[in-house]
Amino acid sequence: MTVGESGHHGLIARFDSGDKLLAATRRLRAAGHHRLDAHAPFPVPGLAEVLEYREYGIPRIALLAATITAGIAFLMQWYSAVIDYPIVVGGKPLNSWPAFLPVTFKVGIFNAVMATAITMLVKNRLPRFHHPLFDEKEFSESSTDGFFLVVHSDEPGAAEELLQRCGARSVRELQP
Amino acid sequence: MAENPQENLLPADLTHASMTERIAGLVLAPRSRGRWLLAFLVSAVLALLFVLCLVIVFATGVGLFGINIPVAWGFPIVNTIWWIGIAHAGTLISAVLLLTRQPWRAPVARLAEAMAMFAIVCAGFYAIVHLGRPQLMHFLLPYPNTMGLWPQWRSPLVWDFFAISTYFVFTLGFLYFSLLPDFATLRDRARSRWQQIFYGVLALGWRNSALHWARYEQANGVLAAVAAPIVVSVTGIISLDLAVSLVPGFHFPIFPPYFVAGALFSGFATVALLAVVTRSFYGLQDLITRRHLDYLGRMMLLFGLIVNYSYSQEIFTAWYSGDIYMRAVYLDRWTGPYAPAWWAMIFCNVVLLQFLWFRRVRRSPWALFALAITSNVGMWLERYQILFTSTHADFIPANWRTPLPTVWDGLLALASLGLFAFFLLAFVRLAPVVSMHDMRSAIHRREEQRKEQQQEQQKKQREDGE
Repeated sequence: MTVGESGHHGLIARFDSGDKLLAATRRLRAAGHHRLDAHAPFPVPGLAEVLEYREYGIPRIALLAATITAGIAFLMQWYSAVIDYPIVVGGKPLNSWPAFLPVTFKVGIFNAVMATAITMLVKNRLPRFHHPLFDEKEFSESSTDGFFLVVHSDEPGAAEELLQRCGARSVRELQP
Repeated sequence: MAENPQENLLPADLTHASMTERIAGLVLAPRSRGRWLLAFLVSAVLALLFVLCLVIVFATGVGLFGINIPVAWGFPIVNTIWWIGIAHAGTLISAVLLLTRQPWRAPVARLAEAMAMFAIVCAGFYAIVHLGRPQLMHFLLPYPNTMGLWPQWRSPLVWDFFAISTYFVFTLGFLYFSLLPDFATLRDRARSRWQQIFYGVLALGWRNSALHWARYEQANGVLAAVAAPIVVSVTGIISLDLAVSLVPGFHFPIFPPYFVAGALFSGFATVALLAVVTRSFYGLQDLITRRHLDYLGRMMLLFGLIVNYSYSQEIFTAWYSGDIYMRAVYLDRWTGPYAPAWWAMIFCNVVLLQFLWFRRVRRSPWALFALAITSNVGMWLERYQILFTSTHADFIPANWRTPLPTVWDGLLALASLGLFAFFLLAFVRLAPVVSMHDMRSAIHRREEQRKEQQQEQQKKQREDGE
């Protein structure tokens, strides 16, 4: 018996399809295994929900970044055109706010994009160029047609049996 | 089968493994190197010509171009608008079709994204060249300076700068996002050490975890939702360069939607063109099917018709305004020195466009290819005639001139096509031309639909039996 990263036994099971992986993940959760991670070559619909993914961080941070920076951009234009450098152009009022909107809008969009990309990477803890899973045999198939379920459990025997019953093609212990 | 939209869009026997092997193989172990190398060398020479032209133009000044008063904006702004327009359909295909869950998006999305990326590079260079004094480009940024100056926020030039740079960052981010899982696939399949390191670094350690995918999809959704206002606003803002002026021929409130429709028209034409070339070059006829070409043709027709409508409204406005200067601009467009450009534009964008009503034309790769080229030529002529006819005959007849493009205008335009091709050819050599993870999702959806159909059939049989 080997001991996994967290001091518990880790198992990695391979399935042949997204459906089987989804069903197995459901059954393991129902059986009380909560330290699970699934790996699939594409986002299998419903899989993240089974793993209790309930995050709205990315859209919220994007919205926040967009509104705050757009506000700053508008204030900056207003300050420069009305207070710091007042100059009448084309007979327009100093605070010609409609003309300030394109830059306001673009600055908001720009920061929404940056915030989205950075939040996605930070929350996924990427870049992380090496991970113990990369040492697993066959794990590279997870980007072709391998569907993997990683289970950390105090009862590896029961988990293994359950994985086999769910139709796993192979079940292996994780390298320490 | 009408109930299963995925069925005819994907080869019947396509699996995750066979698809991945084929697409990744195009990058990791390409077979037909000769034609690619020849095209790459030709485009590399043109890209070098582009650099050379830029150096000479920067060193000498924009006086090399056929521009002067009254036509102060010549080729550089024509080409900026043209290239930005091409970029737009790339964004629209990859983002808006993603949000509306169009089943035909997967095999053409990557091409569209790459096209958008490199078109915007060309547009960006032209936008810098058109400044006249490109060495002072940083004046457009609000940075603390000893002169105590601020940018002029009411100026469309400043809007352009913010619009194009935001669009550039967005396009780069969206393309990289789409590539990230595919880089991981290439890393996992690469056999040579260099390929493993190259794609390994680009993949950032992506390991296909379900939670990573969930955040990835969420982020992609946000980016796609942001894309729709970007598509509308970038060309919209650029059209304001013209529309906020008081020059007859520029001063139309219809310009922003009219330019956006024109942009999407030329952009879909370019995606169609690239799709036809790629599918025959790489033998991807079964992935990028005639039905995909049909859909691209329909989009061309849709946006082309909006452009035609805009032409009619422009003419109507000129007549109905009663403004003699506006009417004179129109009469000059039809009969003046630039009339050939106007009529050629009408021929390309109005007359030839009507062929797209026919299903057979839309489904024929070479007919679509030809129409894609004429549409792009037509859209280029549209921008050309708007820029030149509106300004060459000033309010005072003593100012009237008929400037023609110089050899530098022509060289730089030709070289910018080469630069675009150079980037695109390098891209298809280094990255998969078809988005592998989008294709896998499409295959998965088809399998789900097949299962549902089978279950329904079984149910029916059981009911019939009873």
